Amino acid sequence: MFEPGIISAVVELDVYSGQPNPRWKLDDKICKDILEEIRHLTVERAVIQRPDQLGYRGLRVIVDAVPSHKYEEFYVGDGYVFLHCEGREGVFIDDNRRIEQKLLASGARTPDKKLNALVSQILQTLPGSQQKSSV
Amino acid sequence: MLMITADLFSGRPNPQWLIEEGPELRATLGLLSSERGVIFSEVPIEAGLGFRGFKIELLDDHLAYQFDLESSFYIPLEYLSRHWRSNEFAERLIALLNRGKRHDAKEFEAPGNDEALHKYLIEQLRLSLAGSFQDHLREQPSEQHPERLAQVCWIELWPFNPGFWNNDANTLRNNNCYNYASNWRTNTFAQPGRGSGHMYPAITCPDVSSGALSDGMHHRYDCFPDNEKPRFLVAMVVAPGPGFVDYHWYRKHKEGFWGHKPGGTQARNVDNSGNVISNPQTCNRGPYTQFCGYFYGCNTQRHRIR
Repeated sequence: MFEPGIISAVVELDVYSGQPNPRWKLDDKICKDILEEIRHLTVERAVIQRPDQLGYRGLRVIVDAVPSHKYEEFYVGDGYVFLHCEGREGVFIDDNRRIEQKLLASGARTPDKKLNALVSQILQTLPGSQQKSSV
Repeated sequence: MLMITADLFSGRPNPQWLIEEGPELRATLGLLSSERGVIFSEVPIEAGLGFRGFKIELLDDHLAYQFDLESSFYIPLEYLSRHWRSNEFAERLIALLNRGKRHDAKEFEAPGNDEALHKYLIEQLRLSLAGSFQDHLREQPSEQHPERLAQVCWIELWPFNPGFWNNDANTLRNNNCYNYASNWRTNTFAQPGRGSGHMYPAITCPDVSSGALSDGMHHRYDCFPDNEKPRFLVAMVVAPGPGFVDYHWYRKHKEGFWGHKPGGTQARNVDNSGNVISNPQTCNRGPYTQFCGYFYGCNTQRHRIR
């Protein structure tokens, strides 16, 4: 999975069709907490597709790890974590969409007011369980 | 291992490549075995001069057994097969040629000609799309546009070819709905008006429309001449907010439905409810609730987008 000693991670809000998706740097502490949390998630055995509808779909997290500076990424959406590592993808259950909510909350704390408003709106409509966001 | 013969010459022997087994080859054979409509036993009888397709010969029974394929078969281009995925497979086969070794005698060819031949095949595939099986559609305004009733526009409808956008990760990630509507891969997440220096100042129907018109699009029923082929029929919508503000494009296809590509996700022909899109005005568009109108793309416009 991810190497120890993460130095930075960037979150991309996968939401737009025409415009480029907004991105922000993820706080290192939150990043480490989330990566630790992912280590304990339950594996989903069924075949699950990443969300791909128009509107809010999920969040892509691009992790830059030392010492190799090998970029790895994971995707969170629809109640699942899709972990992409060395050409393979594993799917895990994001209980109550906790990781998704944490990542969205980190976007609500950036200085970008437009992004704050968008993320807050998604957070308000994001169900704690399996309903879909209306955004 | 298999042998691919590009069926394109009349007088000269056709070029052949030997392809070793590998993930790309296995992926292509796997897709072929699930899309048997593109497989013919031999070249279709109506095939004429020019690039017609590929003959595939499996050289051992292992692959044939594994993918339930005949030892030898033919993949015609779409203008011969009339199957909407044929050219997607042709593109895949052309990509595979790069991984193979030329097998024929290369008669009448200069050394180092392989790259030129590869380019030629891609160009011929593109030309076959442009010339042989596009559908022209006569567009006449309804009575809702009495001032334009005398006007008749011609447009081109091309087959739905999602593989072009979806099969390569770089293409998938870096091309958006405007690229798809323009049928032009820039790998820049093209923005209406950016290429012509008039990018939209705000995301509203009038502003995004202005950007697209500045790139060279026209409003529907404002015809383009023949030298601007392909003239696609496209539609633009806006998510007006509050909070979520964005725009989105659709393009009409030969099969009658509309295709689209939401941002860096896969191109598809279904809406947010999973229904095939017969009408972009009434399909489920999620938060993109404002319908801004129909436009024509054209060749100048698609070359201009950035």
